[in-house]
This record gives sequence, structure tokens and C-alpha cells, in this order.
Amino acid sequence: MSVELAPVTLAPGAVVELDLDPLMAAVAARADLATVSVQIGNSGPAGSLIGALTGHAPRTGATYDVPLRDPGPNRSNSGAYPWRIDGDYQTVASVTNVGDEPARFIAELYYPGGKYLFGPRALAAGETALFDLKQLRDGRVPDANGDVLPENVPSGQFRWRWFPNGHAPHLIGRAAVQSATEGVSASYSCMANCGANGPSYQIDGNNVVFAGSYEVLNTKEVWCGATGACSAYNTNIGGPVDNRDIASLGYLANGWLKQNGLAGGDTFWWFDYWYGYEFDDGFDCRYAQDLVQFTAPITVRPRINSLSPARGLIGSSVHVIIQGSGFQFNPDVQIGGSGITKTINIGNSNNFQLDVTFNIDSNASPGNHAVTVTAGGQTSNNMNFFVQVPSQAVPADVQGAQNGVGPLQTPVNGDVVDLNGQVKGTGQCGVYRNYAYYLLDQAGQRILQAYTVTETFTSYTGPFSPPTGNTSTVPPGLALTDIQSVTFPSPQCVPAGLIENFDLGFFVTSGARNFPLSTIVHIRRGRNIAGTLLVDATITTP
Amino acid sequence: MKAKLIYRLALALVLAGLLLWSAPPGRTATGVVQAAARPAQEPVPIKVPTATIFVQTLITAGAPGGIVVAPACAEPAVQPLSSHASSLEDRLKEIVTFDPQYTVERRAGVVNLIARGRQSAPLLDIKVAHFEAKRVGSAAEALAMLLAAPEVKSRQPQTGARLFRGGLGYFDPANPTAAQSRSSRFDVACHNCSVLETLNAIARAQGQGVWVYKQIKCKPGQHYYSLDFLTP
Repeated sequence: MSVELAPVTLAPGAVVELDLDPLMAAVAARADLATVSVQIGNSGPAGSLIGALTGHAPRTGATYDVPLRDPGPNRSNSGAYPWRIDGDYQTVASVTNVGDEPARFIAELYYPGGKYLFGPRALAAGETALFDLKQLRDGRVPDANGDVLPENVPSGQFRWRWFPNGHAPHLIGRAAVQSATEGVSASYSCMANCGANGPSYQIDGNNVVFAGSYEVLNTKEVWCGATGACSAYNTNIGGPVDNRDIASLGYLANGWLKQNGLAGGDTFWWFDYWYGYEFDDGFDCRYAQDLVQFTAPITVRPRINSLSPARGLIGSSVHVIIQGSGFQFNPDVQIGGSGITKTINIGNSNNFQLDVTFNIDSNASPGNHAVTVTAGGQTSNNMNFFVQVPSQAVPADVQGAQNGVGPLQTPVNGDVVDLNGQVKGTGQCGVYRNYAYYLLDQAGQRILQAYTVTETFTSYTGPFSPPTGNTSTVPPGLALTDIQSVTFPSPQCVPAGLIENFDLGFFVTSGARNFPLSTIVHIRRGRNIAGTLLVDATITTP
Repeated sequence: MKAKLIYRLALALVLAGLLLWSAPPGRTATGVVQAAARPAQEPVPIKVPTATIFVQTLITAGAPGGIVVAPACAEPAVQPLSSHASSLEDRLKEIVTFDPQYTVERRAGVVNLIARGRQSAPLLDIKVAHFEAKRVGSAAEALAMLLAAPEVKSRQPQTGARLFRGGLGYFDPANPTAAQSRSSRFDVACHNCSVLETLNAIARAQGQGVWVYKQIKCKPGQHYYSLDFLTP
């Protein structure tokens, strides 16, 4: 709301008292106006008019003298004023844009032991910013960095200064200090010392970010006074990212910026800003400003989230899907240790997964191999791929063979049936039992790839010679099965006293190399003297 | 007589000494595989019977074939497993070089390892006038049909009874019947063929069939044979 009074013409040397009744009437209709400002325009020559504004508080009876200031020539655009808010003291500081263009300024409160930082403030042409310092303190109003004034802070200094823009600012300010009990009404409009400069920008945080993730940066604006002491304000800055396929920026909170990693590589972001500075030219404090550019690098590392599978049989080729993020630009895969080469199927790969075949030599080092991905010249985190060496066979608890051991079967003119229900022999008489095993690696984990296993027989005692070792290629994920049988075509059967004893062992062949398993199965089968049919297995794994 | 006895005793001691000397720690003097306590970081020479090596060689190569195992009532002769990649032809040469009691024969794409002087394999020479198996699901199924042929059954007094001793396979715990259906069905026919020729025909028709025949005659008056296809 504004009230415009009628123009007044003064004769040379004349003194007039302005009638502010229309203003007072307008104010009386508003209960929400704590303060008003008065502007007086002079159409006469510069320096031809002086004036004063006197305020009267009806409640206290106090009278206040409020100086009217001529904005004058554009000089330092800064101020440094004392303030008090102890007892019934109150201080209201103001900054007014007296120029013709929008302007910005920053302001700070200094007090014993700390600072209160307002941060940048924009003002339209003719606009005034008011700071009621007592309200700020008692209302626990946070500053730009989230800090508040101490509850009992009594006094300090209010400082403000220009904020550079594309054109020179033209700002004035003042602070009015009042105490009804002590009858004080003072107004300050002192200039700050010459030599301030700013802003500059300060970024704290990690600018190396993993693709698919983000890193948080604290962004501050830094202003330095004439003494060289600087203040840093939380502020929101940002700008275009040079390569938007690699990274993007996002707002998180005041003074907090997210760097989002999109793809492995290096890029940067930037913005242009005005940097202002004061200097003493020997006669006066002058102000100048330059347009400068701020740039900040971002490094995005590809990230591996998983390898699937993360284990593979020595001497085999394993199709591995590397899932993660940031694999878009010139991806490559490195595999530590010795003995694993790779082929990347680029056609089936994208920013989030790589389709890779690991060729594991039969002499590859067993155990963990660190896998990393490079993309855009950056290297990912590493994740282990485990080279499995066949080490032992353990009983597999499967349908038809609880804990790896099936029930004793004693067909008489019957079938010998394996765990799949497949008939292996018809019209048989004798005894058999089905067994099931899983193949484990050196760490006790299952080997889930296809493998070729051969059985061996040692320490044979019995009426026959040892059986001939069989070889079986077990498809991926399946259990190895073994039928231990002594049967003849009916009506012939196993005679009493026909007992075989032997040790059954295994070796796995992979990549032209043979890996013996530590598991030994001692088998005793046949019909004992008492006529009992039996197939017993004692499985030992050192 | 006494000198002969001393000579034999000395020879036995020398042989025993050689066996003990050649047996590395943790292995038996027979040289047959024993489990290592830890996975092999260095190649461990594994020695297994010739028949086992032959079977393993054919199955890993995916080649059809069969073996007539040399009759033996004690532990069979062993030889080291090759730990280097080589062709099937080279592997077969290695096998018969180590164990000269065998010879390799090739019959229309089927590899046979035959014990020399296999006069103790009467079953294999039996002629079968007509053998025909249609849409069989496994080599073992075709073998059962062959052994049920009248020409074969009638010769059991000479061949002895077939001894079935089991063997390896695989099983899908998540889908217990799936393993049965993995093998595709095939036809096989052989007319006026010997059992050996018919076995080879089955191996060839199945594609990767490997049969093992062994005549067992270790006690007077007891003779058996084992004959199995070791592939699905």
C-alpha cells in the first residue's frame, strides 16, 4: 500500500511542515503495519532541499528524529551499523534499492562469539528490506545456514553490502535503535570499510560418484570483508552439466546439491556469475565487478551390484551377467588373478548390465578373482568371482533318496528303477539302492554348472573283479545319482555269501584336467551268509 | 629247487620294493585313485583302469563306442589320466600304448577298444537275424531288447548270466521326471549282425552311446558277464 501526497512547492529559503494526515488515516485502517517508510522526491537542483522526519509514539510519549537521507552518488553500497536488543531496546535495520534496476544484497549480524548470516536478498527498484533484530532473536528465526541468534544476545553490528549483478547496484541502508525506558532513538547509516569482495563459491563433498547413486555437496557462497575475514553462506547453486549422459544435478535442500551418477566417465558443470570488489582509488572507495565462470568436475564410476552367477567351475566357460550401472561408454571388464579371460557380448549389454562369458582356464587360480568394469575411462568397485574346484560329493536330500540314500530294493523278477523312475533292468532278482550326491567346491558350495564325473573303484574284495568306472555328464543344477546294484535276470538270483566290498571314489574332468574328490564311499553289497540282502554305504569326506 | 625258491623270494621282494618306492604318500601301491585331502592346486597324477579311461575319453569326446574289457579277476591294470588337451585319436593311441593288451578298432564311426585274444567273449559273436528297435528312449532300452532276442537267450549256458551292477546318472530335484525326457528317441535296426555289431549300431544310432562288455569268470563253475550302456 502506498499513499501519495500532493506536490509541494517551496520558495527559496522556505520551510514547510508536510501534512501526513492522509498517511496516518491510511495506517490507522491497517492493524498489520508495524512500520512505514517515507520517500520524498526533489525536482529541484541537487542539494537544494534538506528535511527531517519526526516520529511520535502516543503510547510512550517519545518523539523520534528520523533523518531523511539523499541517496547521493553510487558509492560503496554497503553499511555497518550498531544494534542493541537488550532490555526494551529494539533495532530495525533497512536496506533500500534506490536504483532503477532490481538489485541484491547480503547482510550479516555480528555479535560477540558469532555471526548470523541472512544470505542474498533481492530487491525490486524502490523496495526496502527491513530486519527487526529482536523479532529474529526471540522468534528463533534460523539464518541461511540454519543457525539462530543466541537467546540472550544483547548487541552487535549489522553489516550489509552489494551483491554484484549485470549492472551496478544503488542501495542505501540504515538502522534505527530505540529504547522507551532509556529514551533513546538513534539512527545509523555508516559505511563499511572499503575492500570487501565477493561472492566466491565453495563446494564441500565428494565429486566422485557411482553410477546409479548420488553424492551430496554442500554449496556455500563466500563473502570477504575489508579485513580479509570471510563468511560462508549456504546457498543454492547449480548449472548445466556438460555431458548429461554421465551426470545430472538435483536440488536437495538449501545449500545441498545432489550429483547423480548416470554413466561412467568425467564431466563438469558450470555457471556464470558476477564477482564484485571494492578498492580505494586514493580518493574514495570504488566498486567494480567482473563476469566470471564457476566450474566443478564430476567423476562418475561405474558400479557393479552383482555378478550372476558369482561362481564358476574351473576349466569351463561361464555366462555371467554383471548387473549395475554406468556401463554405457566403452565398457570393459577386468578379472584379477590368473587364468580367466572374457568375451563381452556388447549386443546384449547396456548401461545397466554386461553380458560376459568368463573363460576359466583349467589352471586358473582357485578362489576369488576381483572383477571390475571400466567405462568412460573410470573403474568400478570390485566384486569377487569365485573359481570353483571340485572337491567333494555330499549326499543330496532329494525325492526318493532321503539324505542322499534311497530305500533298499530287493526285486524278484522285478525292475531296477533309478531315481527318475527310469527302468534300468527288467526281470531282475537281487538287491539295489539309489544314491544321490551334490558336487561341492573347495569352499563347500554347490557347483551348479554341468560337469563330467567318473567313478573309480579300489580295495575290491568279492567274487568278481571291480566294476568298470562309469562317466556321467551331469547337466546344470542337477544331482549326481548312483545305483549300487547286484542283480541277475530271474530266476537266477544273488546266492548267499556273495558279498562285494570296495571303495568308490570320483574325479571330475573339466578343461582337460582331472580333479579327484576327497569323498570316498565304502560299499558293501550282496547277500550275506544268513541270507540277508544288503547295500550299505559309508560316505567319508576327509 | 631251493635255489629257485630263493630266486622267487628275491624277485618278490624287489617287486614289492618297487611298488612301495613308486607309491607317493597318500596313495596305494596299486596306483588307483585315492582322494586328496584338498583340491588339487598342482596337477595330481590320477591312475585309473584302462577301461575307465577309455569310457571317460569317449564320453567327454561325445563319441560313440564300446569296449570289450580284458578278463581280470584282480585289480585291473591302471594308467595315468592325461591332463592335457589332445585329440581323441591321440588319447586312444596313449591308451593302447600304456596298455598293449588292447587294440583300437573303428567300425563305421564307432570306436571299439578290444582286448586282444577276446576268445572269452562268446556273447559278442552271437548272430542275431533280425534286430529292430523303434523309437527307443535310451541305449539301455535297445540293449534290453537285444538281450531278449531268442538267439541271445538261447546261448545263456555259454555266456553265463548277465550281472547288473548299477552306474551313474543324474536327477533333477526340482523336476524329478525331467531327466527321463532329456534323451531324444531313436530307431535302430541291424539284420544278420553279431551282438557286437548290433551294440555298435545302437551306439551309433544313439549318437554318443558307449557300451562296456566284460566276461567274468573268477571262480570255477561261475561265469557271468556284464554289459551296459553307460550313456543315457
